[in-house]
Amino acid sequence: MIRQVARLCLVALVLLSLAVAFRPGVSGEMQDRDRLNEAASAHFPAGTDELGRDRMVRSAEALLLCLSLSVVAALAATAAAAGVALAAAAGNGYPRTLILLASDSLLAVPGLFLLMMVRASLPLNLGARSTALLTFLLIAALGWPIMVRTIVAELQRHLGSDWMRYCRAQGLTRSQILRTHLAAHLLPLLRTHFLLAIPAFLVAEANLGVLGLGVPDPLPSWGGMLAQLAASSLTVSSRWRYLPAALLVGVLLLLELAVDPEQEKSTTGENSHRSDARDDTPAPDRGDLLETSA
Amino acid sequence: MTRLASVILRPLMLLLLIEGATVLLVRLAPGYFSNSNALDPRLSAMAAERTAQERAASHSAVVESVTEDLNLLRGRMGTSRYYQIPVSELLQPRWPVTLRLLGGGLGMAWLASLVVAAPTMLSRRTGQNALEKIVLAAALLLIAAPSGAMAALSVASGYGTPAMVLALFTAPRIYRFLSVLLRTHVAADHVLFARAGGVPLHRILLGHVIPGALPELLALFGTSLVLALGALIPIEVLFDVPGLAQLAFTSALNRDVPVIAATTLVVAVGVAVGAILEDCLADRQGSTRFALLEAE
Repeated sequence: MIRQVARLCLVALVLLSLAVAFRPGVSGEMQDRDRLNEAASAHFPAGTDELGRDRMVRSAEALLLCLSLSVVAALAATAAAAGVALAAAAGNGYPRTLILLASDSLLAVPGLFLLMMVRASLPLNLGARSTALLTFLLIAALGWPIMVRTIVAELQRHLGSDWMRYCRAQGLTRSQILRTHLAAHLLPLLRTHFLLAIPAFLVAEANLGVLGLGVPDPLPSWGGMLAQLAASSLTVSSRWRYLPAALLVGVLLLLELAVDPEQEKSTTGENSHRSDARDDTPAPDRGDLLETSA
Repeated sequence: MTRLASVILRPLMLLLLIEGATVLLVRLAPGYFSNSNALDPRLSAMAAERTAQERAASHSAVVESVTEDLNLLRGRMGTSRYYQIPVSELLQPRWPVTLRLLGGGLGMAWLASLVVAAPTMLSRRTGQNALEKIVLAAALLLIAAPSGAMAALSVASGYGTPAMVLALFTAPRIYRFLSVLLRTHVAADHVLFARAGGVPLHRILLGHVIPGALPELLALFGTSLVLALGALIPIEVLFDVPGLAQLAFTSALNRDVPVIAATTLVVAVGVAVGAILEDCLADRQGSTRFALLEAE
């Protein structure tokens, strides 16, 4: 019940943001220098920021931008993790050890520390759109290692299972086994990882943005707006300045409620037709994923 | 013996690998040889000359990362490129600040988690009484807030200290595991017997539950340490705390390789300690993190 309500709220929030952001004649980048740091009014329902931009429109645009880029990044990270895990599971011995060592190395430092180091090493003078894309690509590039271990464990379990031996004995080729059987067994786990990665990547962007290394101005992003919030303690008194932070926490909370890892895990068990399965693969830990990016 | 070697050697190998990779990354970063003095028209010729000298004197990126690893193994941290002083002098006044912040934040988080989890541990299932429902809802809300957002909110509103923000960030995550852990141990026969005998709650907790759960609690402490280390960066940067995380941030922006290598090492050692704590207990307890989730 709670999951359904959370999902409905999330959809409603996205639709509302679309309606606000795509209203004719408004833009989050439009500046009104006569109305800097203005309180809420009929024209600006959530007031304006320090450059006279509509805070509500910017918050809506930030939601849409960050959420859509997070979904893309989560998709890329899950695909990368699946590819790497397949390579690790297929190549026994040194390739597998090297791949797992590389993934462990990336996990040996806190995610935000690693992200900060890598992001600061990349060009800081690119255009806003390129930087936004680069930031999320980077988050995806550093987000896959946490998924690899569980996927490799799942793959190895399947590779040694009875149905796999039966497939081989029947003369099915590797690609046939991969496409027809292995993919079907693996998809529920990948789906879970994908769903858990979305809030983790949103958190990662927000934390990077607070440090000034996320999506830059004039593009609206949660990280950038949080940095503005931190800098506004002496100049702005309007309570509407908390809107981006409240919206971010609200969306993360809804995502948390909408995707329950334990339920996802049980769904995985139901859908994967495991006649021989003893489910000893642990469910991905949301705390770990969030920590990686937080 | 083999187990001990793998527990210690593996993190050490990972540390060196991370260290080398970090140096390699920063060394290959665009603008590594650029000099801010080049923007000054009076100094540009001198700055250009100095940059050219530095470039000519430097080794290849791979050689430099290996050299940095070897230097760190010998205990030499080098001199900061940006501040032009030994890295050890930069770290010396900062690590006590970070340690105090970590200690204060984690201390508050653990205390709060224990105080909140103890009264609710006697219920058989999660979320059975009203108090626990409220606590769970609050924990869920806090878990949804990124450390950067918490720090920004605290700075903007003028309420809270860095240690409090760190505690607020880690406490709900600790509580989530701690409540399950305590509930599992309260269900043991000897604890049930003590409860039936009318032993007060605090004596059950201190005399029976905590000693029994000590290995898992240590593992959970390792996990909370890693969590707190990750949250330190936005907290120290936004609150302007002169600690190691702030130094790591400024050195990353300035591409100051020796300082980056040293701070990465410190952070990675912290994570390795947490991982070793967990690994040492893995044989006895299984993977605590996942076992606790399974129990829930």
